[in-house]
Amino acid sequence: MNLRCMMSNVPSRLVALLLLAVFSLQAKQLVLTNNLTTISPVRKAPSLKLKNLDDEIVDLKSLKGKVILVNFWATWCPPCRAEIPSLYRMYKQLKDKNVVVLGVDIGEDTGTVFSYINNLEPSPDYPILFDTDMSAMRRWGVRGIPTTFIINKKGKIVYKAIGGRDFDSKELINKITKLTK
Amino acid sequence: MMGLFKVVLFFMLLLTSVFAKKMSKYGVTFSIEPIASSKVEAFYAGRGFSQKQIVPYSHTCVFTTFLRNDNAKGTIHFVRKNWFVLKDANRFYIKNNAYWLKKFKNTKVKMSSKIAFVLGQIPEEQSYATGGDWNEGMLNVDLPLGSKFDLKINWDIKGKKYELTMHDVKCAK
Repeated sequence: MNLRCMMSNVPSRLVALLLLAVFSLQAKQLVLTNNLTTISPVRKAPSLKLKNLDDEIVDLKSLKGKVILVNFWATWCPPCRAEIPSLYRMYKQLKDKNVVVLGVDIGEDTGTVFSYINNLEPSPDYPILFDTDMSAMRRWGVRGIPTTFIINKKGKIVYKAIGGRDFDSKELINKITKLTK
Repeated sequence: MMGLFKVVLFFMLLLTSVFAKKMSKYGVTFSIEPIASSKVEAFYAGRGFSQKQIVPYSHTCVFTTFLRNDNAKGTIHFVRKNWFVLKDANRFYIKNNAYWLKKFKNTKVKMSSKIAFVLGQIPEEQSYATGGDWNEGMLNVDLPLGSKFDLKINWDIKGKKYELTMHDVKCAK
């Protein structure tokens, strides 16, 4: 009996089950976590003054008094892509409570990023800034992406997250909401 | 015909999962999966590299790796250049990004491509807090395609050293 004959006897449900198992093994790696590392003692956020998609300068200083999430990312980075929907859902939920998200793209041009963002459904409408030469990334001590910093109303970094997060998980929403009070 | 397609697909996926390895030790999870040179070239073509520019890298052993601090005793810190492979009793350390950037130097690789290359690798040095900090990135072992070896990665928690060994890691052919 050849292999084809042997395999044609394998019930399709079994094949589907095994495929599912293999897929879930691979998908497991991109599971978004939901912890935030507390920065102790809190430290002043470094400067951040970069151009946005409309070629206008956005300065972190001008946002003092708000809770700010600075998210370093790139369009080709799978964990960055994986966390964007939850980051946007969290932003939509909390933007009326003075929560701002700044997505800092590293090393890409506006065309690439615009095309990526525009094709997302829903398309995030928080500001996207461009760190074209990695200078902001270095100043902020980022060594891998995604990395997110959470800044309190006084301009101090209070939390940090390395790797993809489920930003609209109950746990994270609660932590970010507390900072708005 | 559909049945045969399913069988081929099944074996392709099974092969990928066979070569992918995952291990958790001391509260840290590490996984490694070989990437075919054609896939590496396709990824970097999308980042602005020509095939000629990326071949020195893509024709060595390239893996997708994943490292996460699940519940270690504290914040883990690693320096990638301290990781090495053991092959036939020889020790080969992981090359740093500067080594590869130097190789690209005379081929006029764009700045944005170099940035994507550096950020596409598992970080050269990193610290992960307990509870879920992690990164995913490429790891290169400068050995020929098809090589097989043991990979040793290490990290420290406040100076105390830890090591994890992945046995019989195979790179893509």
